[in-house]
Amino acid sequence: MLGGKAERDREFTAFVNAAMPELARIAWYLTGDVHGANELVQAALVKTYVAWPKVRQDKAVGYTRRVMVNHETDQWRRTRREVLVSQHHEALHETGQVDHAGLIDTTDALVSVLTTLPQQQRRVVVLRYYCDLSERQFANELGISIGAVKSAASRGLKALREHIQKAEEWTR
Amino acid sequence: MMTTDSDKLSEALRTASIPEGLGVPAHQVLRQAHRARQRHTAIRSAAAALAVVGLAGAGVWGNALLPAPQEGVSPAGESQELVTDPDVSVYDIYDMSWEEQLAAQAESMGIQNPPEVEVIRQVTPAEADQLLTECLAGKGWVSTERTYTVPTEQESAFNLDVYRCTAAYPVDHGPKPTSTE
Repeated sequence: MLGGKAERDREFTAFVNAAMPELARIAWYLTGDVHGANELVQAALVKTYVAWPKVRQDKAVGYTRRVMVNHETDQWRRTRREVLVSQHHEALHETGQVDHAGLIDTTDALVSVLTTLPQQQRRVVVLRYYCDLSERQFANELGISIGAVKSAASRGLKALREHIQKAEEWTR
Repeated sequence: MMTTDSDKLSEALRTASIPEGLGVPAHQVLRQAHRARQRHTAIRSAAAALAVVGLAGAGVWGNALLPAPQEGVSPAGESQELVTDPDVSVYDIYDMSWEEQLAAQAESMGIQNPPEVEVIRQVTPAEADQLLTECLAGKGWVSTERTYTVPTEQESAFNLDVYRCTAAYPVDHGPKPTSTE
């Protein structure tokens, strides 16, 4: 892992190329828009680069994911919540992209609904069900109790079901 | 085999088509990273220089002039310890007392006045999950496919039982690790 700057840059570039699809998707699910997602993933990767000599290569994705989630907390609190909530209502009403069987079927509906969840529930839903982290892994990564993870997962999944059902009513 | 909602959600999250323009080219990340590292190095050098000045001053005026310790910086130069980014809170649990962790959990669950809970025993992280599951089952909450389905009207009761079961088994996370994991 340690070496000259050129070697470090080569390793880091290879890591970014390999991890970008997963990290960018997570960032998109967390923020709800492409620009915000790209800002978030870049900020997290920059921090990872600064710490690169001290980051275990096999843990780099998890490390960057944690940095991204924590960075998103600060950003989200400051600027984005109200805007994305109103965009959700417009998106579902105008496009009607909801599966009438009550399942999450289209990408736009999925991302729109995710952005309506409270931050903790959204994190849990994205990291548990996309990254397939166990409750323990999630609790360790974010420094919260397993009980809080279980509760947030339960509420997040229930909220997603409720939003899909409500969106079906709007599109009728 | 019946597919649960959580399975459907996992599948949807993994297979959803991503929008155009999502993702940042590696060379762009690297360019920004180089700038950040230059700023980071400049700050650490300044802090190290300040520490040296402080030590020199301490020789004349005593310890009152020594600067506060800075994470990851030593007067000798780049720290050899594995450290986390100061902004990363993954290790915050190691700096929080058990009472503080419980209080944070109660707040996140909307429990205004957390009840006093008798501690049964301290447990390791490896035991915590199973004990919590058993405790909740003893109170009538059973998970399906790793998920608890709780009617809205029972949500407060569920959160309270999660809190009680968590509080009954304080988790000893052990010593704070020194490597990023």
